[in-house]
Amino acid sequence: MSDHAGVLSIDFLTGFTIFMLAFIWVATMIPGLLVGLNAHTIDFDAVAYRTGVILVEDPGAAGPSAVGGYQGVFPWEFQPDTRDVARLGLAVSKDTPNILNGYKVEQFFCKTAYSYPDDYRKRAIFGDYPYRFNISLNDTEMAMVHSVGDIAPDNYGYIRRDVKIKQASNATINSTKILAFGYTTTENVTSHQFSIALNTTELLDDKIRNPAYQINPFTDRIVINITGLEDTRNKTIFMPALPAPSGYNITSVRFYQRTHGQTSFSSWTPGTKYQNFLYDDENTTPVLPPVDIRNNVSLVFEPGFFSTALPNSDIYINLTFGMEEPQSYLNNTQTLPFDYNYDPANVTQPCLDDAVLEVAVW
Amino acid sequence: MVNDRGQLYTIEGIAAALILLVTAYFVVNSTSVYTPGDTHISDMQLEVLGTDALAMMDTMPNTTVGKSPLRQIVEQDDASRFNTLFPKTINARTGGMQDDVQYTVNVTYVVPNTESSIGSFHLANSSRPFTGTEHAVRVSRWVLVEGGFPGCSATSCQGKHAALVEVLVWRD
Repeated sequence: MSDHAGVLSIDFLTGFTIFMLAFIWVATMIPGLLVGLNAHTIDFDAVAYRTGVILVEDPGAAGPSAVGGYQGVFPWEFQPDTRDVARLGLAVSKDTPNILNGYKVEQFFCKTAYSYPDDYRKRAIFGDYPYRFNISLNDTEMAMVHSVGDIAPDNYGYIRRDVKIKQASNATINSTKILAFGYTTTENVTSHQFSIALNTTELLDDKIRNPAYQINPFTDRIVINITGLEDTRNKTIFMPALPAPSGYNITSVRFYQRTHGQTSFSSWTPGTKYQNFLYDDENTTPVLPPVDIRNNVSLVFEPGFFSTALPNSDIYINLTFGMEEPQSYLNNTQTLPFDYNYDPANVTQPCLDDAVLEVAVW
Repeated sequence: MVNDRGQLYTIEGIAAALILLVTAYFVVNSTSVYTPGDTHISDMQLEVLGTDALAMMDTMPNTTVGKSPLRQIVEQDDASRFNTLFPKTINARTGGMQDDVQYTVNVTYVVPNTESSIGSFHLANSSRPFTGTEHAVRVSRWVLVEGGFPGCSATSCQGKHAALVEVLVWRD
């Protein structure tokens, strides 16, 4: 007779096995029940850090149907349709991390261009979970704070980045410079011309190669102020007080371009959205020539104004002044155009303002 | 009659082995539980902040200046200027109260023309001294400087060479 002592029945083994499997399965699920963890809260700091990197170290990117480019580059900040913006980065270039472009900052925080939170989620935050966030930028030198998003609750992911914001260059042609450069003529005529030159080859391919300090006519704001026009006219000729016409006007502002090294000029016209660039005297509203002037004229060319000009070209801005009485006036037809270059005596160079960016995600 | 001696032991062994394998599978495959409050996150945030602060101090405000503020500070051993600029940069916020990050700074360099002699000097520190028990994070930046340092005023120290600016930053 066979000996069954010490041997378990197969039925018992089978049942016990199934019981142990079930017990182990449930036991491994207990920690998840007890902790009650929401996986998304673990991500907040990581998402905030990633968003900070995208904003301060990446120049951003336009989508495949982007327009308004130059030399094969399509800056996202020039896209008229936000659907053509793929990624919102604020850096001047990928080679200049933590140096932000001032115009990109203006566009990023523009509430009419981008709506919270959807437009920012798709282009800066990313991810499938609908994170809420607050992105704030404090330009400490201009004492200006930009912000987008909600007020952060108690529990949120956070990152803070120290940055610098590149400000635009500008030139002021005052009576001292007019005298020093000889920008007047002794001819008594009723029409005078004054030219300003932007040599893009010299500006982009010569001494200054670091995009943080470059003057880039294709992407930067260019500001030219001409002051002291009173000192260039014949003061014996009576100028009526406001609101009567002064008797002096800007008849036209024309643009020309010339491929560097060539001698022939061609006329160039800016895009239709760039018509408002001329300001007279102390007015803050742009004007269209012909317009009456007295002492000051400002030309403010917004970023992208010259983006359709030829690459490697010299761009000339020609102002024609008209007056009722023949006389001398601001005129550089017999000398050289005013050169908008890297000479700090001529042009206030781009400067970098200290700023701090904070990103909170929840 | 079929001889079934030994089959039960075999089946028992197989069942036991299956239990062991399945148990081991479940243990190894269990999901890890991540707990919040991981101190390494705050370390990373402080490290990014310190690195950014040094990078911004080593950036010229414009092309007319010539040398970055950090380079001038190291060349002139200007602790006062570092103690003004670094806290202003690292503690800046967009709103509310400023942060309160403490720091201590050392500069290390190779003595020129020796290839083996390392020199260092203490550059600056915050008002709270570093006692060694703080949970500090180290950030550093190589700076190209020109000229001698404290402790190395020999002619061999003139000319351009690299110096390592190391900053320990912590929060109380």
